[in-house]
Amino acid sequence: MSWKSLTKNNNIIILGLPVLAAGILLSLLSGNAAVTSGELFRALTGEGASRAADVILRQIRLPRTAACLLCGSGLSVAGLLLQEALSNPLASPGIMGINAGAGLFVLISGLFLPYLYAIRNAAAFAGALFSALLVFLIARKAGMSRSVIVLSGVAVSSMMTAASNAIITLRPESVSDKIGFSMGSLSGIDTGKLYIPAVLIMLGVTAAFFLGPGIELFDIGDEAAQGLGLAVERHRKMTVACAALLSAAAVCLCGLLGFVGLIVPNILRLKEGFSVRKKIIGCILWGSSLLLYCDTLMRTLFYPYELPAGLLLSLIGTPFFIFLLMRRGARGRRHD
Amino acid sequence: MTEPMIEIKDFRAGYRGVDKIRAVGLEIRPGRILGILGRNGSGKSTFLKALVGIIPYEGHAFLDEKELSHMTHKERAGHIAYLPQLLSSAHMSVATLAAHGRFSRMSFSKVMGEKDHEAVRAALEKTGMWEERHRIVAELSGGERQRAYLAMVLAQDSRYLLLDEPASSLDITHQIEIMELLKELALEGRAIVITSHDLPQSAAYCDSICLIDHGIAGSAMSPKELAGQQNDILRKSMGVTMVPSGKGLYPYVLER
Repeated sequence: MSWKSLTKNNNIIILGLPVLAAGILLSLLSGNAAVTSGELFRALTGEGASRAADVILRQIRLPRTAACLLCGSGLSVAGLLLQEALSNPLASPGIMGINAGAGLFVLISGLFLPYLYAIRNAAAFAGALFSALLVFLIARKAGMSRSVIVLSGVAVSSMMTAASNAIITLRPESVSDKIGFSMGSLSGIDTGKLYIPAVLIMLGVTAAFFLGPGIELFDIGDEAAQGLGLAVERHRKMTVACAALLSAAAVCLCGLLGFVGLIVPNILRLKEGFSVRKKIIGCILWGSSLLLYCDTLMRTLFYPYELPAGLLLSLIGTPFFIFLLMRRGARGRRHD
Repeated sequence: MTEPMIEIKDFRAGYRGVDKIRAVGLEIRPGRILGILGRNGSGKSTFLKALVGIIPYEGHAFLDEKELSHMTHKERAGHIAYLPQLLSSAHMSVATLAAHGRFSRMSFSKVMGEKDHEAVRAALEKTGMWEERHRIVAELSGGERQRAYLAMVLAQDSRYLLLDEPASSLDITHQIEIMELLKELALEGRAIVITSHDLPQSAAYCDSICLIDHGIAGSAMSPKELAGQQNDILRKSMGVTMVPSGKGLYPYVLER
C-alpha cells in the first residue's frame, strides 16, 4: 500500500498521531510536583537530571501516562465494539452498565480477597460480562430497539452503582479514593497495578482487530451476513465479550470512567466510510489523547488540588450524548 | 464424480418444532433457474433460509454428496450465496458492500487481494453498478439497491445462488432487467434458485418450477408441463391455471 493511498481520506486518523505525541509529552512533563518541566525533560532524555526528577518520572508520571493510553484506547475500542455489535451509536461501556458491573465485582473481590490484586481483573471481567448479559436479557424481552438497550443499560447501571455505593459506605476501607473510583480517575497508579490490565487491553484490541471484518457485516443485516459465511450470533457475542474484557481491564486501572467509549467512536463515525479496523486505530489514537488531555488538565488546572479526569469527561460527555440523541432524531428512526 | 448439484431428500424445516416446509425430493443443478412458487406464507423463504443455515433443518440436503448442515458457515458460503428478501439500507458505499461478498473467500487476516478486487469489479460491472460504486447504499433507489446487493452475492463467486424474491419489490422494467441478468448467470453455469409469486414471469424465465402448497413442496416441473397436463396441481396450489398466450412479453397468461 502506497503512502498516498494510506493518507488519502484518513486525515482524522492521521491527525491523531501528532495530537497523541504532544499529549504524551504534556502528560509526562506537567504536574503539581515541585520539579520543573525542564528538569523532567532532562530526566526523560537521560542527561543528568536530579534524582527527584528521575524518581517522579519513573514511578509517577510514566505509569500514569501509560494508564491514560491503556484506558483511553481500551474504553473507546470497547465503545466502538458495542456500538457496532448493537448497531446503536448510543451504546457504550458506561451507559450500558458494563463499567458499573466491573466496578461492583472489583469491590466485592476486594472485600473477600483484599490482598490478591490479580484476582480483581478476573472479577472485573466477570462483572462486565454479567452486566452485558443482564442488559441483553432485558432488551431481548422488551424488544431490541435502540432506546430499550440504552434504558436497560441505565437500569442495570444504577443497580450496580447502588450496590457499589452500599459497599463503599459500609466498608470505606474497600476503596482508597471513593470519588476517584466512582467518577473515574488516574491518580495513584503505580507500575505494579499496570501489568495485567496492560496485557488484557492489548489482547482485547488485537482481538477486536481480527473481529473487525466480520463486525462490518452486521450492517447489512443478519441473514445476508450469514449468507456470506459469518456465524452472526457467535460473532456478535464474541464482539460484546471483547468489549467487556476491555472495559473490565480499564475499570481496574481508572475506576468508572464514562463517556470515553461514547465520544471517541462517534466522532470517528461523523465521517462515513472508515472500515472497522481504521476506526479501531482512530479509537486508540484519539481515545488515548482525550484521556491524556483531560487528566493533565484536571491535575494542573486547580493546582494544588487535583480533580478526577472523569469529572471533565462527564461535563463534556453529557452534552455530547444529547447531541447524539438530537442528531439521531434528525436522521430518522432507523432502528426503532 | 457425478454432476455437481444440491440434492434435497425428505427435507423438513420450521420454527419452534413446527414444520413450515417439507420437501420429499428436489434437485438444484448448475446452468438452470429453479423457481420456488407459492402463495404468501407458504414456506418459500423458510426453505431458502434452512438451506443456508439460518434455521436448522431435518432430513437431507447434499451438496455434491456432503450434508449442508455439517459444513461451517464459511465452507457453505464458498458454494452457496444467499440474498434475503429484505435488504438493509446499509450506511456504506456500493463498492464496500460488493467487497463484503468476498468475506468467505479471504483468509483469516481478511485483506483483499488482487483476485478479490477483480471479482468485485466484475460483479459491479455485471450488475451495472460500477458507475455507482461510490454512492451510499442507503441512498439508492429500490432497483439500484437490489442490484448492489446482487453484486455482493455475485462477488462471492459461488456456484449456487439462492435469491428470495429478487424481483417482487421492483417496477416491471427493473424486474425484467434482473430476470435477464439471472438468465445470463445461469448460462454461465450457475445454479439459480428464486422464490416468487409471479407465475407468468417465472414461467418465462425458469427452467423448472417447484410449487409449494401449504408448506409442502412438490416436485419440480417445466413451465410447459404446468401449463399442460399438470394444470390441476397449479389450480389447487395457486388458484389459477396457465395457458399459452401466443404473443406478448411472457409466453403464458393466467386463467381462473
